[in-house]
Amino acid sequence: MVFSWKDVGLAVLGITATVSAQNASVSSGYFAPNSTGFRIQHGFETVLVQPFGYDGFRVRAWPFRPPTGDETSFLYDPPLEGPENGSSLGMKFDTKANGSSTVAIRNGNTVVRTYSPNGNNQTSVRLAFYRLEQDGSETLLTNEYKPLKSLNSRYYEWNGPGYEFSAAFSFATTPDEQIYGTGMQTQEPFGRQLTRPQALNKII
Amino acid sequence: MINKKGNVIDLINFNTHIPTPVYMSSRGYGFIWNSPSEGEMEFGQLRNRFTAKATTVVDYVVFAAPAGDYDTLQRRLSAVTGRAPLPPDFSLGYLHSKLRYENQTEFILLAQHFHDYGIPVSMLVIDYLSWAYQGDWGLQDNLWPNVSYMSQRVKELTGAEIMASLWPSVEDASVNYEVMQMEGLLSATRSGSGITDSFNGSYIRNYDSTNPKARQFLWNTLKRNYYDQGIHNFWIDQADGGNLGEAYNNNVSSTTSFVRSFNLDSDAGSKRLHPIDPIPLRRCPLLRRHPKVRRQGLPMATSTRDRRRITKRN
Repeated sequence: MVFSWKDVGLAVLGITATVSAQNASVSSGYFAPNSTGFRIQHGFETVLVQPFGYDGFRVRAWPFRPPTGDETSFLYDPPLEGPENGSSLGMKFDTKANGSSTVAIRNGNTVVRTYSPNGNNQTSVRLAFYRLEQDGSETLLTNEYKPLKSLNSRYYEWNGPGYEFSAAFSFATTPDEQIYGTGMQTQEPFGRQLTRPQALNKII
Repeated sequence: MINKKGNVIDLINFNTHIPTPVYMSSRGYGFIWNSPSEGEMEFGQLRNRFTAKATTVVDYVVFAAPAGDYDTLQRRLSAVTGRAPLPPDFSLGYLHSKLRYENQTEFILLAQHFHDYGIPVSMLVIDYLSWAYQGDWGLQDNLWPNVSYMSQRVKELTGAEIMASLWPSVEDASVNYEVMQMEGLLSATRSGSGITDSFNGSYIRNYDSTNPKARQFLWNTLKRNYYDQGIHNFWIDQADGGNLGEAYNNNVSSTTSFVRSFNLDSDAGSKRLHPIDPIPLRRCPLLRRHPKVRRQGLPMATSTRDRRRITKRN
């Protein structure tokens, strides 16, 4: 991850140029990002949301102090393909938000939009991700978890003697959602818990 | 269990247990948690949760495709995480390896036999512990005295490429240990010693792959000892690129202390239990297969009195 905090200031100064340049450089038929990103200031917390690759968004969030830029990352920035056309956005954004209004940006057929878990116009600080369908409707993909009786969906905690924090980020799902991936896990074979007592009874 | 719904997965590396905080959803989106921190992936009924135990930024990516279009999701994913190059042709033929070739003579003889019997082979592999000490990143001199000659001979006889095993670990007896220690090219541990394992009585540390100088040092050494001698391929081995992590499970050497510490951490009554408690044994597949241990294995629900009785019987 390579970025410079100088980019942030430059982004604010060059909003129009940046957006139009991006639109011009993407092949026709793809809805190029209509923003370089937005930054939510939410009390001590800062959230930066940017278009990333085709049909994607990258979210970076931190409490209090900004990241150093030396964090270990396994992402290509810029992505190997995407509307960036080989030019990283760094930490650029063109829209500031503080929760008092809804912010949305579109990249290809994906939309990210802020919403308020409380249904008011002071706390539109949660993120929801949608896919834009052929007929113009939106399908919710996932959103930051919102029940009031739960930890914040973006939860930070300081457990150590230094600044490093632990974080727990929660996203809404439904019982029928299927999850594929997550690497390789060595798992117990089916039914092991049932067969173990049976084998044991024979021994005893 | 391809669908991970309902699982809670620890984000910590074990040999053959390599959690990767990336998934695709049946709803037609993908998710990347861009963090090297330990933590958890939790896929509940109503909430998916990713945690990082220690970090200075939270960084994630969401990307979408039409529902069910996993090919596009893979393309979106690989655009930001990297794409594997098409393997070279020779890697798609017959690859031959065994545990393991003792020396250069045996290896050349192997190639000679492939030649004499007319068996096509595209790559021959020199597996692990072919070095004198971990971290040497070179074949042991007295067993493999002329690597360039060997490579040339194998090529002449079979046309095959050669691949060598590469471990990231460095033991204190290695020729490279001192300079790597002095130059800060070895990774640390939380307690400071940096020792991640002991292997044949020697302390093991890992090279710090996050340090560009360490990567350069590794490559310079590999180039000198292998690449320039005609061995151009490496399989990145050991415990999937890291330390074992689960020494108690795979090395067994510390089983007794593990069992005792487990019992001491349990309730007071458990201190009276036989030191071989079934609970940790369940996590120890090597021991589980041992006939004596099988006899002593008990279900967790068994009462302390029953355990005493059965232990006594054994």
